[in-house]
This record gives sequence, structure tokens and C-alpha cells, in this order.
Amino acid sequence: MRKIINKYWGWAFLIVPLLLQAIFFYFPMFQGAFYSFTNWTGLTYNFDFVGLNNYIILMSDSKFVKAIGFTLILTVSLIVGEIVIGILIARLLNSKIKGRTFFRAWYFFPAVLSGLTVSLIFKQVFNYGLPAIGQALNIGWLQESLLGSTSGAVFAAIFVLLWQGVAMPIIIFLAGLQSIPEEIIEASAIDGANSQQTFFSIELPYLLPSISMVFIMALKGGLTAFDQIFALTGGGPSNSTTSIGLLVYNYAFKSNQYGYANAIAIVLFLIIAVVSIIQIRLSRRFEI
Amino acid sequence: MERFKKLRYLGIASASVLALAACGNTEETSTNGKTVIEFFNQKKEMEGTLEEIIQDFEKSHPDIDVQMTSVPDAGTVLKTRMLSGDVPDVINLYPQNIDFQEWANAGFFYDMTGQDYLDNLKNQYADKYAINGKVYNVPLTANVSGIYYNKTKFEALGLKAPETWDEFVQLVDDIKVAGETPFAIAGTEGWTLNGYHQLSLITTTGSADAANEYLRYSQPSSISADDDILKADAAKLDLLADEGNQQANWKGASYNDAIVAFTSEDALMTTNGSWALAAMRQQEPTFEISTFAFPDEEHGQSATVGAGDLALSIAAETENLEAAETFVAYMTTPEPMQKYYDVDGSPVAVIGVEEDSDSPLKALNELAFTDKHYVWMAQHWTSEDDFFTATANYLMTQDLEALADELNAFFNPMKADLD
Amino acid sequence: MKNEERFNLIWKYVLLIVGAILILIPLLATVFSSFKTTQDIMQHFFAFPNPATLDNYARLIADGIGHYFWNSAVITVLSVILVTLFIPAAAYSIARNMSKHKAFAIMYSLLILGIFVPFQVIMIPITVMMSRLGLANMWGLIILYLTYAIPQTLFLYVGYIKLSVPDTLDEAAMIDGADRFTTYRKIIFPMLKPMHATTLIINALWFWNDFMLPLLILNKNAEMWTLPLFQYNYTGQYFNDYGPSFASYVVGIITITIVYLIFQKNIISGMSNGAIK
Repeated sequence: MRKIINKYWGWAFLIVPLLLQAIFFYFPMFQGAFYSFTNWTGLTYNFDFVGLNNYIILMSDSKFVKAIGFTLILTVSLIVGEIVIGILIARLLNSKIKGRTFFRAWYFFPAVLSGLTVSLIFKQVFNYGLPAIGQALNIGWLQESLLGSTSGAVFAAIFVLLWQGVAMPIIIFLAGLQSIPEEIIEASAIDGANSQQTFFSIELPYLLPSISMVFIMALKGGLTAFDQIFALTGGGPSNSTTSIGLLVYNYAFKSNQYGYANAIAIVLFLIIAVVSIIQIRLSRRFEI
Repeated sequence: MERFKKLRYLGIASASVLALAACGNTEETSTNGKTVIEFFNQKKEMEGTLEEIIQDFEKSHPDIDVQMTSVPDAGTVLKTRMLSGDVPDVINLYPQNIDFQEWANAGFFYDMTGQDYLDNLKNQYADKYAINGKVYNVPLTANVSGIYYNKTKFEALGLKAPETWDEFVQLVDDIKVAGETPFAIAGTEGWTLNGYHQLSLITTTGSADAANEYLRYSQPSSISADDDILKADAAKLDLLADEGNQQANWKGASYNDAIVAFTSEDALMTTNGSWALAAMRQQEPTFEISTFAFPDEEHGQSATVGAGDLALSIAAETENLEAAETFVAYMTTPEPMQKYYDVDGSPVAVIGVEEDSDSPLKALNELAFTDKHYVWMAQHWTSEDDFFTATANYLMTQDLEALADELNAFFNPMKADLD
Repeated sequence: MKNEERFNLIWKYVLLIVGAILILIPLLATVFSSFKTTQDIMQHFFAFPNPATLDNYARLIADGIGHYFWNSAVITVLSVILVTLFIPAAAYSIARNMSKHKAFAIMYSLLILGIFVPFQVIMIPITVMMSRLGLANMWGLIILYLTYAIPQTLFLYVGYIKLSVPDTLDEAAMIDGADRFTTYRKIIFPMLKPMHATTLIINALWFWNDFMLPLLILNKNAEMWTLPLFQYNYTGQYFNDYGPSFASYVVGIITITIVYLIFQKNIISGMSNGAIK
């Protein structure tokens, strides 16, 4: 037995993950793809084939377009937000200030909570806390709940996701900064480099691997966003904060249009597959 | 070496998985020689009372053990269970919904037509939900929808519940003149406005069927902002939407927020269904809650809308049909339903239950099970969500064109089978 | 110079403290709410508890929170163990082989393709499948967690191995007479410690806080519920029992905080020692 594992070790090490992915991920996906060509309601097993109908309808579905738009905005905001804010705060936490350890632990805290809990809490904050502040300080636009307007709700969704989202990147960037050898930092200080130069010429190169890691995490977070949005806005008002995941869920479970929901899912999957492949090719080119 | 040990453990683990799974599936039949039936409940708020009722039942039927399943997001869970063939013996589900209708059509439920326990219901209420002439569900209670109001404050201000539409409009003005806010509205949860909007359509067109003729059974894209019906409907919605008629921050308010706004007297009325009463009582308001039904143009034509609330079906393939039917038959007697009513308050279809003459829901309960108690229009729809959204959107924008567009977008897919 | 330095320093403190407050407020609201009645929470969300009550916590104990806590713990620990058992090994194989044999590069793409796919996409089929296989229980849940952790975890490990674990080590070990398996076990695996720490935290947090999968897979029998399901149970469609809800959130938060504090040093030091060189 041992001999076989060693001879074909490449495959032996891979077999469990491959089997699991095949059975519990790809198989359901293929089932879903199959159903996307039907009008299955998801309730009983009575359905008819409708060929490409679902996909055709999809092209002119305004909700689908809206969902893609929102998911895109969300994803880009998360990527930019997590990287920029993450690096900013990581630099602060890396400098010589008192209470460093405390702050570091404190800033990681949001990552530890469940998205659902956080969203429920922020729902109250946006509906009551902020308007109360707005009234006290007599700021006009703050007095209405953010969640009642489409742009406000989008902002609120991004805020809540970032609130939790930057925690992990901060730690990752912090680690990256701390891996810079002391001598280089000292050398640059002796050479009289100012803060900006230090950042761009020294810190940034060391941070590139971290940035790529955070980029992937944020991309994943944006594209698969569900829990927080579900709890915070439920997709509203008027579907302005419906992510693709939520759209699929709504069509499948609330509107009983499972075949159609799967068409959306397959389209999403194809887009992701294409983007991933491109990304892998690109990153291979930039490999150190 | 470690890897092998772990592989072995995994092997044992997988074996135990299968063993556990096998054990799990035989759980359903006799423990201690009793017949075990599963009762799938969707009304989480009534969990406690239902447990009590089950205890009583088990006392008088010692050979039957009822296991109640009460999970969050019950609707979703039920759908996946039905699909995988894991149908509970007795199920509480909403008979006007499309999922019930589809499942009944596919033969998932036991045919109860002609059973004598159906006669225990007022006005043969079960017939309202028959599929192809067959009864698959026993609706024990129904929900009703109307307008809650602060009776104490009304009396203090010399106001009374309106009996015609014009009186309703006048009432709203009077409230504003007195310096109070008319309505507590949950802007982010359109489903709370569903009752009001459907009643508006029902009273405008004359009945739920007439309303559906206009919306659901008309030609695709035929709903227009120029239609008299839609204009009249919008005029009634305007009563909720007009400037100054709602509590502060209503656009961001949730269902809970609207309830709190009502019970803390920030607003004197709120439109909702009988299910909201329990939540309101939980807030321990200092005033007397009462309700009035949605008024029509003329006197005595007020209407309400609702459908089966605690409504039971039996699985067609259940292994314990007799036990299941005994339990369902028991539920159609006054004893357990009295207990239920005392906590829940919504109208009970079971004959013999004494309803509280001082109930806040009195005005609505009086209409229950009569022909002024219309069934939710969604009985003929394939979904409801976008209707809620369209209603909420209209309240925020008062844009009639947009309302027509959204209604068309909502109903068009359903009209694919027409002509 | 000194003034500028001091100015910068003050700015740093200001920014950090503002950020810290932003984090504090929701947490404070949660803790306060756990000591309030549901009625109080609904009416005065940000105020101090009035009256303050321990009823919510008592309710949690009466409803059996210990049991669900244990379920969550077992599932999280077992899932994490399985992840650590299988995925780094797979990553090692891929990292070493993907440049030489195209097949491995393809396997890699196939395995990480799921990283951006929302779960809702396979939600219904997988639920039906697990139910049919008799795996609608804790074991089934663990298997699913292991499966769905693969894309991201594999990606992170492969990246790390390629960057920081050169194959010269493999050669050295094999020259000394070790076979592949031993090389992996004794040399490679220990070197992956920083990544073990990173993925452990990411995955453990997910398993501990997830409610969607348990809702669909574990709902048949309340005995199997995890903590998030237990928490979610306090929210009904028409009525939210906020008091016990928030108390349960506090319990969850405290637990994970303790775990985090214990591992905190390892995580950060582990990361800086080699993760991102």
C-alpha cells in the first residue's frame, strides 16, 4: 500500500479533494445546468424542457442587469477598500505607538463575528442611531434612514461588508510590513528618504504578495456576498442591493422559478470561470 | 505511518456515518410500541401553545407520540424536504400558496374529501381551497387583514372608526389636524402593505376574482396608468403615501419598527394582519388596541382578506395514516382550538370555539368565513414578492407609470399560458 | 522636525481611535441588548438597559445552549482537522507537479474554480442529494465543509508552497533516503505552519458562524443544531425575540474571542515569519 502511495504520490495526495469536489460540487452544478434548460419550479418533479428560453429571457431581465451592476460595484468597492484601508491601518499599527498590541487585537475583532449578527446590528444603527444623530446635529440628509433610499442602501451594504472585510487584510498587510528586513529600513532612513518614498520604493514591493492575496479574498467576498445583504436590506429598496447570490436565492425560493434561477447561476459560473482562467494565466506571468 | 492511521479512522468514520444514517431513518416507527408521527409547524410564534395542545392530545391518546418540528425559515426547509421525498406526516402549510397547490396536484397529500371532521368547520371553509374538487387541507384558523387603531386616543380626540371610504379620508385629515400622525408604515417590508393594497384592488373592482381578472387574467402588458381601476387603486394607496401621513423614518422602517411606532403612540393606525397582534401585545401598550375593516364606498361593504393560517395536510405516503388522521381530527374540535385562540386571536374556523367579544380583532373576525373574507389574490399567482416591492415603491414615489410597469413585469411571466 | 513628528503621531492616534470607536459601537449595542428585555430593545436600541436583566442568559441555558455550543465545537474542530489532513497534501502535490505535468495544472484549475461561486447556486441540488444519501446530519455537514473549503484553502497553500518551500528541500530529504510520504510528513508539513494558522482562522470562523448549510442539512432533528441555528431560531417571521438573540450573540462572540486571543500570537508571528516573504 505504502509503495503505491509513494509511486503515484502526485495523484494519491489529490484523490480525496478531487472526489469530494466532483461529487459535492460539480455534480450538483451539472444538475443545476440541466435544470436551467427547464421550467422547473423546484417544488415537484413535474417540469418541461424549454431549451434556451430561460437564457433568452435572462438577457432582457432588468433585475439581472441590476444585480450584476450592484455586484460589480460592491466587488470593486471591496477590493479597493480592503487594500487601501487595509494598508493604511496596517501602517499605523506598524509604527511606534503605544498600545500597539491592544489596537492590533481590536482591529481584528470584526472578522470574528458572524455576518448575520453584524448586519442586524447595523440595521438598527442605520435606522435609528444615525437619524438620531442627524436630528441632534441638525444635518438634513442624515435624518432619513440610509436604508430607505437606493443609493443609501448601497452605501450601507458596502460599509457593513468593509467593516468586517478589512480586518483580515489588516493582519495580512501587517505581517507583510513586518517581514521587511530591518537593515533596509535603517538604510533608507539614513539616506533621508521621506515617508512617501519609503512607502513606494520599499514597503510596496514587499506588500505585493499580500495585495494579491487580499485581492482574491475581496473578489470572492464581493461575488459571493449573501448573508450580510440578506439580513441588512433583503435586497431592497427595489432590488438596488440584490447581489447575484441573493437574486438566485429569490428566484429559486421565493418565486419558485428554480430553472430560471439556475440559468442565472450558470451564466455567473461561466463568467467566473473565464475571469479565473485569465487571472491564473496573468498571475503566472508575474510570478517571481 | 500517521497517514495510514488517519486513513483507518476515516474508514471507521465513514462506516459510522452510514450506520448513523441507517439508524436515523428508522426512528419514525415505534419507540416503546407507540406510533410516532411528525408534525411540521410553520408558526414559530405559537410553538409553546401547540406543545401544550400536543401534551393534551397524547394524554387522551397514549398510543400516539407527536413530534413537532419547528425550524426557522420553515418555508424553505419544507420545500427541500418535499423534494427529497422526506414528507412529514402532518404538515402546517398555507393552502392558498402555489407550493401547496403544486404539491397537491403532484399527489403529495392525502385526499380528505368527504371526511366527517371537515364538517366541523364553519361554512365548509375547507372547500375554498379544494384542488380539482378534492380537499387536501384542513384550515383550522384563518388570518385576516385590516387597520389597527389606537382606540383610547381615538375616543380622547372624538374620532371613530370609519365605515365608508370618505369617512376614512376624513379621518386621516382629522388626525393630522389634531397634531397626530395617522399611519405607522414599514417602508422596507412591502409584505405588510399587501393586505391594504389587495383590499384596495378588491373594493375598487368588487371582488378578489374581479381584481385578478384585471391583473392576472388580462392580456400581457395590458395594465396601464390610464386605467380607471389603477387610478382608483392608486388614490387609495395615496392615503398611506401622501406627505405627512406617516411616522418619521418610515422609509427605512422594518415590520418591527412599525409595530413599535404604533404601540408607543407615534402613530394612531397601522395596516397589518391578525398575526401582528401577538407582537403588539408583547410591547405592552398602554392603550386599547382595536381594528376596523377596510371600508368601501358604501356602508356595510367593508372587506377583509386572508386565508388559512393554521392549516393541516397529511402526507399521502405516510406510514401512520390512522394516527395522523386522529391527530388532525382532534384539532378540529373546540378543546384544543380554544387554547390556540386564546393566545393567537385570529378567527377560528372550528365550530364551537368561543371568541372573545372584546377582542381587538372583533371587527375583522366578524367578517371571517363570510363572503366578505376574500382569499389572498396570490392564490392565482406564481409568486408574490415583486407585488410587495411594487406596492412599497409606489408608496415612496407615488409614480403611477412605474406602478403600471412593475405590475406588468410581475404578471407577464404568469400570462405565458394565456391565449 | 520634532513638531512635525508629534503632529504625525497625534494624527495616528486620532485615526486609530476613531476606527476603534467605529468597531466599538455595534459591539457595545450588542452587549447592552443582551441585558435588556425584547421590548426594551425594540424601543430604545442604544440606551442603557432599563431594566437590566439576566433573563436572556437564563433563557439560553434553559433552552439548552450548551448542547448546541458543543455541536458547533465538534463540527468546527473535526472539519478543521480534516482540512489540515487533506488539503495541504494536495497543495504540495500540485505545487510540485503543475509545471511539469499539464494534468496537474488542469486539476488545480478545476479544484479552485469554485472559489467565486455563491453557494445559492448549488443549494437545492446539494440539499436533496445529502438527504437522499442519508447524509442530512452532522457527518454530512462536515463533508460539505471540507469540500467547500477546498478552493480557497488550496489556493492559499499552493501559493505559499511555491513561494516559500523550495523543492531543493525535497531533493535533500530524498537523497537521505526518505520517500515522498515521509518527506511531506516530516519536512514539508511543519514548514507550512504559518499557512496552517492562516487557513485555520479563516475556515474555523466560517464553520463556527455559518448558518445556511446547517439550516438546510441539520433541520430534521433539533438535537443536531449548531449555535448559529439556535441563534437564528429566535427570529420568527412575525416576531423576533431579540433579548435571547443578542445574549446568544454575546456567547458566540466571547467564545471565538477567547480562541482568537489564545492563537493570536501564533497567527501574527506565523504570518510574519514566512507567510509573505
